[in-house]
Amino acid sequence: MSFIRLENVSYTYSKGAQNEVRAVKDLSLDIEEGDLVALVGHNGSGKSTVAKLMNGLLVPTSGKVTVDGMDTANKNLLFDIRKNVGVVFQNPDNQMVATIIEDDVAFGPENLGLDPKEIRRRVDWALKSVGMYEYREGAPFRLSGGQKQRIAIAGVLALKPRAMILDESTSMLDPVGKKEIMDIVLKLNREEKITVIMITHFMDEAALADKIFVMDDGDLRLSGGKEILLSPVLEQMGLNAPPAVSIAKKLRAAGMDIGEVFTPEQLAEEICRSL
Amino acid sequence: MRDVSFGQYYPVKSPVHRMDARAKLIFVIAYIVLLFLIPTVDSSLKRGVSLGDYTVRVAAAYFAILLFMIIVVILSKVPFVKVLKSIKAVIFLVVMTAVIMLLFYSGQATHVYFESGIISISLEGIMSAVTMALRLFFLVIGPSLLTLTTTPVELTDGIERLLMPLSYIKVPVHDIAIIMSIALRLIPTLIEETDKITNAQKARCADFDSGNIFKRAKALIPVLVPLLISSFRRADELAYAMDSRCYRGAKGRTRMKVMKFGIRDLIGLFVIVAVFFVVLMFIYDYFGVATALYKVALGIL
Repeated sequence: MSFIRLENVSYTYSKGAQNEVRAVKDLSLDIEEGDLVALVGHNGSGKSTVAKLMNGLLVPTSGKVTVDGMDTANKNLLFDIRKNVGVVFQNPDNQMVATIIEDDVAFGPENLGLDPKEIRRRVDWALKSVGMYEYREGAPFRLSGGQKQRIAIAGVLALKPRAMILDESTSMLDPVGKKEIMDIVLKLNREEKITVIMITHFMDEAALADKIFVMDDGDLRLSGGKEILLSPVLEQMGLNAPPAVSIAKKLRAAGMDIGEVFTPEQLAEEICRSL
Repeated sequence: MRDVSFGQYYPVKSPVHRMDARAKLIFVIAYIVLLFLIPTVDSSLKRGVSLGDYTVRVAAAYFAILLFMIIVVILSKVPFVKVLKSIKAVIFLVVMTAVIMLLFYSGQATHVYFESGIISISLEGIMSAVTMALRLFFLVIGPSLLTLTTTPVELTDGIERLLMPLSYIKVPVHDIAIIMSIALRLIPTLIEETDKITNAQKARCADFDSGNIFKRAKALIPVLVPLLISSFRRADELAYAMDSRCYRGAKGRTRMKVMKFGIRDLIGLFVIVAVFFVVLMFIYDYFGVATALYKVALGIL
């Protein structure tokens, strides 16, 4: 059985009201433990709703979401579900609870009811993992966006979740901040074997994932490996292929011998090889 | 960003910072009580203390408190400027109170300089204005030193523990504490946001600086409405973030920083008791200390 499983899930905001919105329509998908997954789609495609469905912040109007076999509709299991699946949201300012960085990171493990020494160990470990250990006694509001978001990741990491959902976590950051976050996320997936689900509309981020789900209008349109980034369907939905992919395409059209690439690094290699 | 000293933690390592937040809270309460134990001019005169005696006693008492506060500030390693900045927020209140005290003093007065209708300026009035200003000054300094040396988390934790007995009569102590800490945490964010919105409205030719007070208050509406809306949005997101970090109220929650009432706090307790005693000794002339001081002062003059 997959780690996170959505079976024919629908979600409707303000159901029954005049302004009801069907954000997710009959969606099914499976995420295996250890995966690096990207869930892409443009604004209003329902991808953020899916993030909230995955750890029980929202309960599906119909269908079933299970995390490691636990149904999110069961209120008694929510605590254990959230222990396993953490979410990093878009705006770092809206995720901080405390005025001191280490206190904020400690918030999660404190809720788990751990021993003070164990909390301290986890906080130190989480802050070191995101490279913010030296800042632990400072105040978050003086930091840059990227640094704040790293604190938010540490806050989730300190819960030692098996999966981490990044709900547009880089969309408010500059390119430097974005790269910082992506590097950390990739490292966590590789070294700590944490399942990562990136929810994004940046195709260059999606290109880093092993598995990509493309959502449109509350429904799953495409899913598969990196090769779907080459699919013409993406452009019909108004999503641009990652820059590296489109540059490679143009170079190929201009007569250069370029293989299949998804990231800027691969593109650079291919160009060097063909020259 | 605008400077808000009141309620801002100053992060350095010092013996005062390391004290138990509960102890510090109790000390601040004791300190406030002490300030209110210093009698007013009128009540002293009624007790038959002469104005001269009163002046010496109160001066000695405030001097003792000042000395104590200076020592605490030095120990806390917080710059004096930072401490004094907290006064800025209430300076208007202090001045207003002092002026009203000065003009409308209605107690016993022997040295009247000016009288017209209800306004009268007397030596007693001046004295009560000065003592009131001093009281307010020290009243602000104490708690702001507490917030400068104690993180809001420690502070709310301390309040939570001190109020714990109330939870037996179903007072939601933990919820109050978390609400307070989140409010404190959001102050800088909201100030930043206010600045941003103000600038955005200014960029669209909103005028905040001219016209009478009503016009200016009305000009603030386009700032307050977006601020309010975005606060609700923030609150919503924060609730999601807290939920997904396994928050479920006080139930089963532990703390990373365990509070311990240590030797430092015991010393603090001794010091505060000593200050209490010294101040009362001056005020109520125990052992004739104040009288002796008065004589010494007269001798010097």
